[in-house]
Amino acid sequence: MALKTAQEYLDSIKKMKPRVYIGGKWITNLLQNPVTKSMVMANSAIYGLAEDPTHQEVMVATSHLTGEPINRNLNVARNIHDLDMRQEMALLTSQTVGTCNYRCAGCDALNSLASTTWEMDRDLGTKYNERFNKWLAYAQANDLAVSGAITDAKGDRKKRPSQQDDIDTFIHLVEKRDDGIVVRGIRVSQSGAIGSHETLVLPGGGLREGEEKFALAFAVQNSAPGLSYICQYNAYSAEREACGSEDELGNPLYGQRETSTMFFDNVFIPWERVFLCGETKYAGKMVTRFAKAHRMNCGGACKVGFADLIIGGAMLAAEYIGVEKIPHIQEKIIDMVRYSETSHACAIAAAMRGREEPKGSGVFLPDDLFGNAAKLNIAHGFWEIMKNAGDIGGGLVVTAPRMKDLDDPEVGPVLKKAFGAVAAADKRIKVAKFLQHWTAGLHGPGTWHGAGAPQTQRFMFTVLTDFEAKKKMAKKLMGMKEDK
Amino acid sequence: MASKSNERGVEILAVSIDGKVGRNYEGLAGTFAGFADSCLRMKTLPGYYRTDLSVEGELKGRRLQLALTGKRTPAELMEILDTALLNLVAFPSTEGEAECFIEVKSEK
Repeated sequence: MALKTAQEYLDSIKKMKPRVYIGGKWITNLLQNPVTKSMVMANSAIYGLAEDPTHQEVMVATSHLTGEPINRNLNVARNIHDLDMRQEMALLTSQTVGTCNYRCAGCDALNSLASTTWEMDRDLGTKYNERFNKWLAYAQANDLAVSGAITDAKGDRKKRPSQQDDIDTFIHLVEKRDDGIVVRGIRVSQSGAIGSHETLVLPGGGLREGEEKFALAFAVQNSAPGLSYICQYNAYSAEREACGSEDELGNPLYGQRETSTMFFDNVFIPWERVFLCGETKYAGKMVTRFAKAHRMNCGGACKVGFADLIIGGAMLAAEYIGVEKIPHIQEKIIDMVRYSETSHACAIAAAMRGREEPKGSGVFLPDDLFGNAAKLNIAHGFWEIMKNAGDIGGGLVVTAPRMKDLDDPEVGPVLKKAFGAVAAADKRIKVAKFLQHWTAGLHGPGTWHGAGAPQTQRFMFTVLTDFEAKKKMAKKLMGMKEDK
Repeated sequence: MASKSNERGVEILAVSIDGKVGRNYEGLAGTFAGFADSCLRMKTLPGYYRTDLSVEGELKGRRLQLALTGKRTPAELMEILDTALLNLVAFPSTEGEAECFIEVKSEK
């Protein structure tokens, strides 16, 4: 089997028993809790896209290891077209589920691993790339859902990992054995690991000599003994658990974005799943290559898919009260399109200017500057898009009653009178809930921090931009002589 | 000479219950090591971490002998082992020759 159907994915997840805590309780079945179920259903929808002939070019790739068709979420980009289809996949999946493609970070992590393990084997004579390719071929053959865990808990940011009062704030090596390693530590803000078959863990940042025990990359199975997941919990989680009907919710099937804190309590990882162990020099490369891919996809395409949904919702809200032709409403819609399409253009440019890295590896990564531009632009633009959506949607976005209150014999007629306009009250309230999901939900800070907070992109601009060349060309045009 | 499964980086695990042949599973190489670590160090099966299911095991080379707490029928034990191996991302297989053996005894 090279491509799983949505149903086959659901069947496989039914038997997985990760140790998951959410809102004060340990749960044994992801599909029985409405919040964890929304995450699994989103992943299922992503599998479903690969079944749809309309989306074959975007969702299905050819394995460079076996020549078989595979889900693009498990593809290593081997050319510009692969990079372009990768960012198009991020756009399509966001437009489809209105939340994370929970296989996205795993896809970018495996591209970083393909590149960096190849370089390590070349430089050090290790066998990491051979090992990684075997893992990848297995993941592709079984079309596994693979997520990515990149962010350490970090503790006191002024201190290096080994200086922390509690080094569990960083994933670290506990024991090296003949058959594998034992790891311990905490990863945070991890999207969708609970409903994945496996998670790729990369170093969270650059490391120095002496920090070898933190230089780790590995694949861990979802239910490996010692691994626990503590899920995020917020007003949206509580609402989903308590509302009684998904119809009340802004994104009924797929919910907000579900993350967890992963605690590795002395988890054993066989050597066959270990792709970095102690080589500090390559830790930074792994994470920057991941970021390079993720900023193009998460920043310049995924959030553009969200923006498409928000724009659509805002236009419906305007139509339902008869203001769609008012000039300032149209202007705000155009501004929303401008913010999002500019970011998408950066993502496409990042793909088109992508290149093989390192030379000879066969792995293509996006252009770093354009990828960072995509992410930084959408980090700021997304707030503007949400502001305009809240503006156009009106106060109802945050003042709407429950959908089912419309059926109450006493208050229902009052609400229908109050909120009926060009469209009936139920349509207006439905759109208001949808816009509330975005404008008063979790996606603002999520977009800001996902793929790295904007300060990291600003830093990358300072590294990647040739400011001296710009000064030189300005001087030349002014006729100013170069300083001796 | 390397076996086909070695070349592919996978291994075949044979599960038997009370000495009778059960089912074969294919997992990425290292699956048996992970399974054995779970049973011997963590005293549990994958997917049953921090539950009331505990395991006693003995490893002899590539042969792992297990006793699970509680009285269960062979069919129930097979179901538990099936879940445990799926939780290590190993899947039922009819191809290849087993190189790792998991032998489960039921409590009489």
